[in-house]
Amino acid sequence: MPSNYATGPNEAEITHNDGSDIDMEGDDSFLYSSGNEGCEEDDYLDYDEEDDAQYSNTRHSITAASSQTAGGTQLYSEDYYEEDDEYDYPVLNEVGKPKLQEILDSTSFSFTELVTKRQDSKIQEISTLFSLPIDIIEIFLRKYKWKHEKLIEDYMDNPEGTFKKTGVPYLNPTGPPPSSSSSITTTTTTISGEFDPHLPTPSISLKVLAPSSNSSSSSSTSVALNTRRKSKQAANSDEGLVCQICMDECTDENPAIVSSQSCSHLFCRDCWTGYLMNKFIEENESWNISCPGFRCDIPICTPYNMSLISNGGKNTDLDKLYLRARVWNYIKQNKHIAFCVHEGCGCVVECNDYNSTLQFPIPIVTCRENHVFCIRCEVANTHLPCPCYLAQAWRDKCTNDSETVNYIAANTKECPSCKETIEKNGGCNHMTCRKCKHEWCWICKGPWSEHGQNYYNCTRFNESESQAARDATSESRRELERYLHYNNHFVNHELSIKKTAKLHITIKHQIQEMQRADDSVSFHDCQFLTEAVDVLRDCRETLMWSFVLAYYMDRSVTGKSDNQAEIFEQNQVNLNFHVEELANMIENTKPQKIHSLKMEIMTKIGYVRTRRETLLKDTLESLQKDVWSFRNSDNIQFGDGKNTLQNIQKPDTSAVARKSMANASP
Amino acid sequence: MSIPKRIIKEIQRLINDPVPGIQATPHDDNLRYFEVTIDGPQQSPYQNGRFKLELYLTDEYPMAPPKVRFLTKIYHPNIDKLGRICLDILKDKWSPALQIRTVLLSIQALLSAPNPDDPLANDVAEHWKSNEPDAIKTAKEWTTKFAGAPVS
Ligand SMILES: [Zn+2]
Ligand SMILES: [Zn+2]
Ligand SMILES: [Zn+2]
Ligand SMILES: [Zn+2]
Ligand SMILES: [Zn+2]
Ligand SMILES: [Zn+2]
Ligand SMILES: [Zn+2]
Repeated sequence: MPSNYATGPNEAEITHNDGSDIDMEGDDSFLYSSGNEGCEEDDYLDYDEEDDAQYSNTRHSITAASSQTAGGTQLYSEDYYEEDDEYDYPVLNEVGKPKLQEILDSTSFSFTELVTKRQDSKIQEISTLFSLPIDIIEIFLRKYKWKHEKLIEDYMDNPEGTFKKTGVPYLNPTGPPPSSSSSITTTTTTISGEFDPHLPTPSISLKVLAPSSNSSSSSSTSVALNTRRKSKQAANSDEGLVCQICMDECTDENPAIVSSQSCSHLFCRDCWTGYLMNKFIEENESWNISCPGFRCDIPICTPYNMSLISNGGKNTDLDKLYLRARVWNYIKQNKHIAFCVHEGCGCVVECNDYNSTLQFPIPIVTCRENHVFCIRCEVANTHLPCPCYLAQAWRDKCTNDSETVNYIAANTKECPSCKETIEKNGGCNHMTCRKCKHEWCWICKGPWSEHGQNYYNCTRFNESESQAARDATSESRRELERYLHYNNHFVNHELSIKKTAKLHITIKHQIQEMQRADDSVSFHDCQFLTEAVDVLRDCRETLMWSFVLAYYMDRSVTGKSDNQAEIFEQNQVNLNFHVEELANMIENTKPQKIHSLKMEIMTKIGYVRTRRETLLKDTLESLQKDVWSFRNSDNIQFGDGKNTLQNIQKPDTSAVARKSMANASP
Repeated sequence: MSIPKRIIKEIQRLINDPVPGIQATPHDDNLRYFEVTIDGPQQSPYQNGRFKLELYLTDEYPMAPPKVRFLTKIYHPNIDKLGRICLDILKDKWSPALQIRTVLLSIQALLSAPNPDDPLANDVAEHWKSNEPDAIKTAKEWTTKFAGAPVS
């Protein structure tokens, strides 16, 4: 195993001799390891939502941004609707609007600054708390995905464990290091009361080495390194320090930088720069960058090291990329800050009350450009009043199943006798079950024997025998039909929303017509039409997701909550009805007449809006009170699983053609 | 595109100080493209086989790993039908301090020690786990059939 190689390379072999002989030789067996870490992420700090919820009662909100908060953001609190008559998406403050290019172009860009300030102040705060250098805190926080509460909790519990988890060589802030790290005892500093958090930390800080030609001047290098170099030089005195990446000798202009006293991997400044640039650009990260040495996990991306590699800020590109990656990292790791999900927008939105919202099912945010999205799902638009996990289950279901499900629905029926799923091929209604050989009619599901020679027209649909056969549909089939029922509603509203753009044009046209007919009609007078279209859009979206909620609602176990479920359904039916009425009014009224309907339409707009608010309010209350139970979204299957989804693939057309040919002559 | 000094040095060393059982020859007209032959390690099902591979150094090399692929068909749980190799150092465990020779040595080592728990070819891995002697038999047959090992 390479473990020994990763942390402590054979010291005699490190760096320089003939330039090509880099320490890859020796026992070849260390090279190979194809453990799971090779193909899968091995991220012990990858907390998921559940973990997150555990400490969600503590706030993540950051003071620097609160000044920008537009007042109260206590979302969906009981009194939210009372305070504010006009329903609006919960107002959330925006932090700024960084486009990637802007971050690169302007280091003074307010957002970058803001985030950087927050990061720095948090690092400072914890540095003081732990009495540890800021470089170490920076690594800690990045590895902890900026969850400082969790870091503090873990550190207080087990400081050594925190070092171990984050890959930072142990540094004891109060006493001598424990015996286990005896190999680096000489390099481990014990920090006393008057420590400066900005000083380099020996265990993770880089060091510039002067080329060996003037080795006498490199007084700052560690004792261990000097000895090693001298012993090598004795054998190979004309050789300088050789970079393990470019295999070139280091020079005054391009000096060797040794990674740390814990691993002593050595590279030239150019290669360090190239390595980091590649990480920042290709992987867009700053948090998980370790020493370039083979299987070396020493984290190296710290403020001190960055300034050392960029030669005190002389390499501005590197500094900017570092800054960008650092900011990106922060945004990506903080669940309450997100880039707007609308393509090309680039806004950053912060949900100040994310944690209080987290206990609430749906954290909807609006960016500066008025794009609305759920900050938890990171999906465009809202899915009110459907909780995130159900919305996600629905989205998955629709992408995974829709084709198969619709195919099954359109092309298969269950055998009335044995419930086997039977596929219809070709035009003939005469079905013969492949399993039980029962012969039946596709149209009426009655027995075929009653149909005589009437192949293409079934006139027996209402015969009691046929009806009974249809009623006996299996549970799985009913499940499928149930899904299709709700899905139809969902898709219909979705389609209507997509047509909204077209409706806006129609409205514009109508307004022009109205103005032609009556000079006194001003544009302002027609504002109600645009408003109607917007209200329709919002209502349809709410309806879409209310059908999803209804689909997952388990009415069989609700018991006392039945009342709430009925109210929900009433609200839904009611809103649906009035939405269609309003849509009808503005879509199907002649332009000349529409102005005379203004009052009526405006009343309707107000009414529909209230209906939507009521539906949302009632539903959200029920959700908060947790009165409903939802069917386990994972367990909902169509058909009896084996018979349908797996077995029935969409047939390739040639196969269908062949089959229908065979069936064509009864 | 000029060839970095490092690649030249690596080539020189591969030629002057070859690794036993491994040949790597750069193309005349493209020094980033290598024709590679690895001899199947002794005591492995690939013994006496000669496996051809291709290795390509992208412009990002050595910041990014080389691209390596088996050209000879091989029955191995970590190598798929297209000859792609599941090896951590060719992915996220790549280090710019690694070299062509170390990569090839690792691949040779992978032939000696297949790892069916981290498979790229699922059916082969399944075979390996459910009936190792039989899987090894197949691997030997393939080695004879495709990699020119004498019939054993
Ligand atoms: Zn270098
Ligand atoms: Zn290292
Ligand atoms: Zn936006
Ligand atoms: Zn959501
Ligand atoms: Zn049947
Ligand atoms: Zn027929
Ligand atoms: Zn019929």
